[in-house]
Amino acid sequence: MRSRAEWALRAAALAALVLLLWTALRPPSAAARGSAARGGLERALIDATREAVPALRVELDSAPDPVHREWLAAIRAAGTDVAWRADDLVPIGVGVSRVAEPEGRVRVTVAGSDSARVILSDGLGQLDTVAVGASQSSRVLRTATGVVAAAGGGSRAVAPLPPPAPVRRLLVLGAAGWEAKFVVAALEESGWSVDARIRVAPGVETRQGASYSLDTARYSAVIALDASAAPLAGAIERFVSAGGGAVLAGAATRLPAFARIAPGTAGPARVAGARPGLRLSGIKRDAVILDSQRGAALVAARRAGFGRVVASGYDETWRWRMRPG
Amino acid sequence: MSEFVFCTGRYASGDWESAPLLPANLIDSVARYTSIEVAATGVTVPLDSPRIFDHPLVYLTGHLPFRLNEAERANMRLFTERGGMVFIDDHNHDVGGIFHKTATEEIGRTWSPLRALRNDHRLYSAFFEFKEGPPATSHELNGWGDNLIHPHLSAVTKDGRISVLYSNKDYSSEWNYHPENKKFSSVDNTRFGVNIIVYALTS
Repeated sequence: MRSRAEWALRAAALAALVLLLWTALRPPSAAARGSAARGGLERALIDATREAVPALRVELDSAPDPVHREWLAAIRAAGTDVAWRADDLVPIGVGVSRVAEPEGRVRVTVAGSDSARVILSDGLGQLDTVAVGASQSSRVLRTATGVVAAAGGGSRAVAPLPPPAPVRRLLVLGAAGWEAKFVVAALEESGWSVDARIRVAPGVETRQGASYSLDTARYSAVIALDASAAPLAGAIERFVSAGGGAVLAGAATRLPAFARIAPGTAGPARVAGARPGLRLSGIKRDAVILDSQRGAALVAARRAGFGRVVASGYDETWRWRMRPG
Repeated sequence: MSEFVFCTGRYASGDWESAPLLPANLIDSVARYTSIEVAATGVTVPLDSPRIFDHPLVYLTGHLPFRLNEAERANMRLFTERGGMVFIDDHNHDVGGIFHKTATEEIGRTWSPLRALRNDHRLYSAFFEFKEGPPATSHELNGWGDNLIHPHLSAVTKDGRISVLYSNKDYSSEWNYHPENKKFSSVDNTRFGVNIIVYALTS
């Protein structure tokens, strides 16, 4: 009696093992192989999770959310060949940064297919519509709230708003003249706190604001309008190396003391036009040209140490204010 | 970099050219005392001309009625809005005189009423130090005009900066001589003119 029971139990256990082995090794059913139709992504993911399929083909009509993206990745990691196509989907990317200025404006850069139309919005609603040109477009917004989103062509990308960039004082160095006066006034009207050292006579300076030493804890940038900055050239170079910014205009770009850091030198050739200025020459290989007219570079920038230097050939910007247009 | 060019404003109503030697005298002083790049000769520009915007400091004077026409008024308003400064001096030195009465009226109509400028204003230390405020002129004491020493200048200010500076002290007579004659004075009486120009260029 006992031996018969043992033989029966052994047979049952063996049968269970054979069944389990057969379930694991049997080929997948034809119904589980195939693609997730439009709108059926969730259903397909559930099916592919419950029963292993050799391949999962997904046709997307909109960008999958992070949960579904992770789910697809997990199914692929489990051995399923996951592939997707999105013939009508427009890829979009968005980046948000703060302009380093008192006003704290927001720069939004959108990347996508050429001529895609993208709607920008933030936590309070729609902001603007952007036509993406040459795969990328930028907008500078006065303000934004919360998360900035870019949506279009079934895609949506989001980027959080970074905190305002730290803004410190500016130092203007120049000889007494209209350019120094109007540059200081324009910067102050834009909300900057400006210290100025304006040379009036040999050994005589008119000073505005505080007389701090030039360091990155106090100043965001120094603006040197002409050769009167020469006595501070060494301090300016150290300031830039430590992360400060420098704008060298006109004759300041030609100072030998700035040769190492300046992106180029301005003049003597002038560029005529609505906004005349000195043509930049000797532009360093790592400099980026920011403004040009008639094929001549007028403003260029480059990194120097941890900071940046801009060379500008515009030496009479005061005329833009007195005679706009 | 553009040099400073002394500009005398020409207006339609009166004798704008009553101090023809003043520009050369002040130009000489600026060149003598400062390192400011200054043009050797001044210019005369009509107040209604767009060329006025090439000269952010304009000097005006006269003896006769001072009236701006509509074009001059509109241009000068725009001029100061963009950052220009006007220096007007009563060549009569007479608060009862026709230039003073019409000029102060015109200034109020074009900009806003004049207010007395404090004698510790930055103008008085812009280059030379004038601790007592505006220096007296010889014409304030010689029996001409109102025979008063005017202790203050007046101004219209914008965002803390002087946009219109008005004087009853007759600096136009005081400075209207050939710069060669400076050597006969123990103290150069054009130094306050240097202050006005340096203030305009640095404030």
